[in-house]
Amino acid sequence: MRNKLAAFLILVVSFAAISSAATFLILSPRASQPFMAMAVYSRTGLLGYLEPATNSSVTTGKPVNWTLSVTNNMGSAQFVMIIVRLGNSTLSSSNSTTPSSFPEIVMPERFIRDGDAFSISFNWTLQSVTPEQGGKLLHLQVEGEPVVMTGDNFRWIFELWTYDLTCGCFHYGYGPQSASAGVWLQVWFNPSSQNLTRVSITSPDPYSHRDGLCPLNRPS
Amino acid sequence: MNTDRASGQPDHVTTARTNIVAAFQSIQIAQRQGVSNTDILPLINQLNLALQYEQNATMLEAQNQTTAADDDAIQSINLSNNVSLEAQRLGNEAQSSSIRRSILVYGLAFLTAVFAAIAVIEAPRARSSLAKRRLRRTPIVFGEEKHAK
Repeated sequence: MRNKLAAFLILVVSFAAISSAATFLILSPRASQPFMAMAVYSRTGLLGYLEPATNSSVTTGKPVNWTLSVTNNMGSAQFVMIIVRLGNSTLSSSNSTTPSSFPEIVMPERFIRDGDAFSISFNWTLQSVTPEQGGKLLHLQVEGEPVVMTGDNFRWIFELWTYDLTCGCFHYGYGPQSASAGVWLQVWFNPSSQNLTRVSITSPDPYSHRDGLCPLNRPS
Repeated sequence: MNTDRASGQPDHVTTARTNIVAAFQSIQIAQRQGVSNTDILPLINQLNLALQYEQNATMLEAQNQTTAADDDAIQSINLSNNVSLEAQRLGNEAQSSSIRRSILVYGLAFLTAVFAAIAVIEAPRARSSLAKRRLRRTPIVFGEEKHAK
């Protein structure tokens, strides 16, 4: 009888350990890689995404409407800020650990829940371009505010900053401040005071947009 | 609305910012306590609205429109206070339901273990009693009768 009781207790403890472990595994949240991502896009495609900024002329007076999008997959709600900077050739861009030193033009802030994305518009207009020694003088209107910039190799820099409750401040990138991962984008552009000459096709040619299909190979 | 402030007292715009951050902290705590993403959504929307009011208030304050700035700041403070309270309520609810669920699930796991142990211990006895019952039900067929048929 005593042996039976001992065997019973050993079995209960063993089975309890197994079923508790299985329960813990079922109740535990699934492990996932936390990340945040940022994108810049427009209805007509972005200008000059890569250096050098070829085929990315922005003409004066023509509004440029872009959309900034941020995705949060950090496992909790985040308080984010996008810092938009206008850069030229004088300073370096951001990198994965350090933000750029160019002046901040706009800094929209937003709360975003886990697994969600938000989009905000970014509208700007090149108002004038004046050639000067060593580059150009630009007058822009960014989100209704006037901005002046001189130099060359112009580009927009977008940086993602997140709020850290420990320091009570925003820091560059996401994750803990001591080991944050920087998120940034840049878009190059060539300011131009002339209007771009555009070929206007009144009757759309269905083959004109296809890559690698020269007119001789078109089906008759 | 009285917008006079004693010296040294933080202005409404500063309070609005502090309350927004406090509300954000409450939301993060609530999420750690197990509040679902669906329940968080209205709080995030309200907090974004509070942020808009706070930004408006900051802009108006820079333009020396103190009364309008205070109005917006107070709207922001009210919204973020509501968010904080709601997040705390949801967090407490989620925590207590999580504790209840854990007790239930671990209790079931323990009961399963006890029944499994009983099944293992009593298996030989159950097997022999089944065999006995089967034996008792088996009709006795005598050799002569069988041959006669």
